[in-house]
Amino acid sequence: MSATKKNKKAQIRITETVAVLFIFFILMGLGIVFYAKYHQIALREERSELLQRRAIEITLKSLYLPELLCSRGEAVPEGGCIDLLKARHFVEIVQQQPSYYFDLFSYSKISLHQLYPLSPCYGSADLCQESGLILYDQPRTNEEGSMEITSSTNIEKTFFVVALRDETKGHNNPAYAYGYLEVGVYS
Amino acid sequence: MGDKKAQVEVTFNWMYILIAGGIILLFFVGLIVRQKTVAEDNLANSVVRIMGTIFTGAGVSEDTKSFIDTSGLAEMTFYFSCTNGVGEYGLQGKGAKIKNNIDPVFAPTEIKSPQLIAWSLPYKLPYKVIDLLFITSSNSLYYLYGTEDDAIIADFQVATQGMTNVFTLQNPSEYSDVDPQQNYQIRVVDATGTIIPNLPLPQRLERFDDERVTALVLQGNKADYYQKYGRGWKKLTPRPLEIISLGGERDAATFAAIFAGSPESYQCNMQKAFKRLQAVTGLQQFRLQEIKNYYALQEPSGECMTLVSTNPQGNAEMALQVHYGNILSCLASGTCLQLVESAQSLVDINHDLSLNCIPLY
Repeated sequence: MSATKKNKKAQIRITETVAVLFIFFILMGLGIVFYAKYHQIALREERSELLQRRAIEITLKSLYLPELLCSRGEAVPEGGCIDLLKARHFVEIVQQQPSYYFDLFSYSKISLHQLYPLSPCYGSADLCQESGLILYDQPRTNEEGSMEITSSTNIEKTFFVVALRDETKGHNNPAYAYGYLEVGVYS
Repeated sequence: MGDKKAQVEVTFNWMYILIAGGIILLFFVGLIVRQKTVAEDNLANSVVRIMGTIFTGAGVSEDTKSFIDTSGLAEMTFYFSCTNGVGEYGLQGKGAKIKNNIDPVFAPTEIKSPQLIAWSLPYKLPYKVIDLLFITSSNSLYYLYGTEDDAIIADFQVATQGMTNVFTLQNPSEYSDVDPQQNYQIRVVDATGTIIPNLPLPQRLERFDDERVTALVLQGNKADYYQKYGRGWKKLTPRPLEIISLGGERDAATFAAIFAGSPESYQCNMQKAFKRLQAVTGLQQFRLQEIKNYYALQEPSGECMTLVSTNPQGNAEMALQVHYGNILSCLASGTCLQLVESAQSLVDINHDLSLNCIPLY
């Protein structure tokens, strides 16, 4: 009788311990799941913040690029103006020093568009096309070297209105067109 | 017998609870310590990233001084260095840092201050090459000495209006009264070469760490760096550094020498500017080709075509080629003085072109 009572007591104790352990592990599991989820969201937010910061930096750098600005001799250069005589060949300079410009612009695409007048197209015919005159384009590539576009690939675009100057057009004075600079940063 | 067994069981239960409790407590203490380290690293990373963005903004806002409040980070030390064409800045003792091989940043080797000052000036040789970014702090003091003939001192004084850390010494005797008070570091800029290194170190500077007291002797387009060494000065430049510049007001290359922490850092950052000069000059050559093609169609034997390409005595095409060659040899050998001469010929040709033709820049 006393042995049966002891066995029962022991059984109850074991069940109790198992139940405590079960609840403990469930709580621990829940904690890990919540923490992982929180961490994942925080990482995604941080990534998006980094992308936006990179976009701002690259946009700033492109807008004030000494290679493209409209100089005026010793005077302060014209603000918000791109010299088409230089812009037309910018891509060739990028090809000569790809790593230098990659350090400057990273994974991004910079293009120039002419809006007015629509004709004649100053500088280059590409200027008036939808794609614009591409100054720099470096998309992310996968291991095989082909362009990688996945559902998570994001491009943060910024547009800036600029004047386009072509000194070989116009009569005695440089010709100006109206356009925009598009800076897209690949995530 | 039963009592004894119960006693042992209770004791074991308590020991078991103590050990388990201790382990759990240790686990949480470890977790907190780890989180603290992670949080500190994250903060340092954020600070350096934000600084990077601020510096990029300051770098492109030509001739604008930005006063950045860093009072929350006043106990942290920022460091700036540059070796082999790669600049680095970050927080000392933390992993957070930014490496950059594009933007020339001229700053003291270390800054520990509640306020940073960022300022940029365009570097032209002769056309705009890049903006040189100067970083300093409200507790980095600059003492300038020069005579009326030393235009650089008056120019620097005017250009730094609004900065409370720049002082002018009227005569050599004021040098011995230099008192840095509670500031972090001082730099003496001597445009005469009479006080540094000849006069004895001001008494109040003797208590300062050697690396926090530096001097720059500017004579023409040559610069010599000195550092306090005990009660005197130690020369850091075996031979004077050449300042590659066309001179004039707000001379970015000379101002950069004033802000640079060391001769190595100055040269390293100027190399970044010369690297960019190569790209900008390459593009200027393409631009000139466009101008040449234009005049070849419009007036092949006109005055403009002569200035651009056909004048055997000297033309824009030749001058630009010489300048490009000088840039390549500057990057290869490190001797860049010839750039000043070729840039000056471009200035002259551009002046002639701008009278009646499309200018070079």
